[in-house]
Amino acid sequence: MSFWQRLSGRPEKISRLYIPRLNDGLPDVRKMAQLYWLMERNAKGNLTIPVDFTDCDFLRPPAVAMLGGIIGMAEARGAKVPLLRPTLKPQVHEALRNNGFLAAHGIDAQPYANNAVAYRHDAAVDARAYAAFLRDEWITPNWINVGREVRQEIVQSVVEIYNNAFEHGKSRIGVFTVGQRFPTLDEVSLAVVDFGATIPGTVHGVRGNERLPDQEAIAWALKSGNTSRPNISRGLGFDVLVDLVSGPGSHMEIYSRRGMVKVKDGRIDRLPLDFEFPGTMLLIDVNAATIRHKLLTAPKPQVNF
Amino acid sequence: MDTIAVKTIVGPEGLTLEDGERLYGAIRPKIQAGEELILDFAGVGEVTTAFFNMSIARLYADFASEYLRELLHVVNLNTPGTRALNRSVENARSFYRKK
Repeated sequence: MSFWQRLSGRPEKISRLYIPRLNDGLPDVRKMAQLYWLMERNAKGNLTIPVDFTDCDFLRPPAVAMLGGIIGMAEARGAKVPLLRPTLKPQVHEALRNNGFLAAHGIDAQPYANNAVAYRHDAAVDARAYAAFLRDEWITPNWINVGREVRQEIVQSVVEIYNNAFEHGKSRIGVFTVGQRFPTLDEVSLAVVDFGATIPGTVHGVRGNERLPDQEAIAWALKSGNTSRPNISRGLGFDVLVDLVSGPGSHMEIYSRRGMVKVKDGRIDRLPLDFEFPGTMLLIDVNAATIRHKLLTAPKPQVNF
Repeated sequence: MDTIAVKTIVGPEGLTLEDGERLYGAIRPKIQAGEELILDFAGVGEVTTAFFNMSIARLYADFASEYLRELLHVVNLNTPGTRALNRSVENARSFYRKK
């Protein structure tokens, strides 16, 4: 029985959560959201809902972060969610072992390896630890050719979003992060997922924005100077990331509630979703060479009070 | 002219709103009193706009650009940090002007 057959008829009760092959395209994100809502309908105290990987031969990092969130949500509701290790195909087992996902869920405690970046779950905000994770485990000097200032530019930009997930998003089960490195391409990618108030949920609270479609609300949050706070200049931090991915080879996608926005080559594309994403997922691909070039060629900025 | 070593107040990074609050608490009384001040960022690495929003840009709620330009002097802030500070200040100027 396929994933779609298993989901057809929107089953109200499940005894297992079947994970399909999950890449990082729109159809895959739709499946991730469906899995979340399916689990949410079923996860209750004292129930055990094992995760079955029989149908899964590939999991991209965003799917791993999302799966961490699904399990975290179910456990927060009192359910037990064991991973069925015998259902893991060798390549999926290796990927989840290498990025530390299996160890984080109680099996195969081994250090990560290869190009995977450690799976990370922050139940509570700790920006310093997160910055150290990004600096020491994601864009490490031995993996990617970046100087100190390029690394700093990337790390501080991503930390903006991490802070935002806790401050504005009020994610009850925290933030889930998985990344990847592509040393030969001079690129790094990162998936950051939270299950909080969503960007549209925050932006709709600003006077005049109540009726913005969700994808337009996300685009609004990307604009420099826009703030959801009435009394203090405090943006959502996304404009910093827009700037970060503005060069060739970099891009980002944001899924939040019923909207999706893609930023690439200076363009911001908006898309309404035919499903509801249960929080916010940020996918970011950063080309280090582009940022290095930008920092080297731009005039050295002076403080401008 | 007093110097505030930012690292002694926030540590090696300025990342959070709380970091910003602490720095703001150190700056604000001196600016209020009309004292010139050097903010020395030596030894400080990553800094976010959230940090600057709460520490320096927030001063624009009560003080004019010209006044702050005269009193506040930032030294040893690296390029990514300067970009973050300028972004934060630019937004604050616009935000508090509209209020």
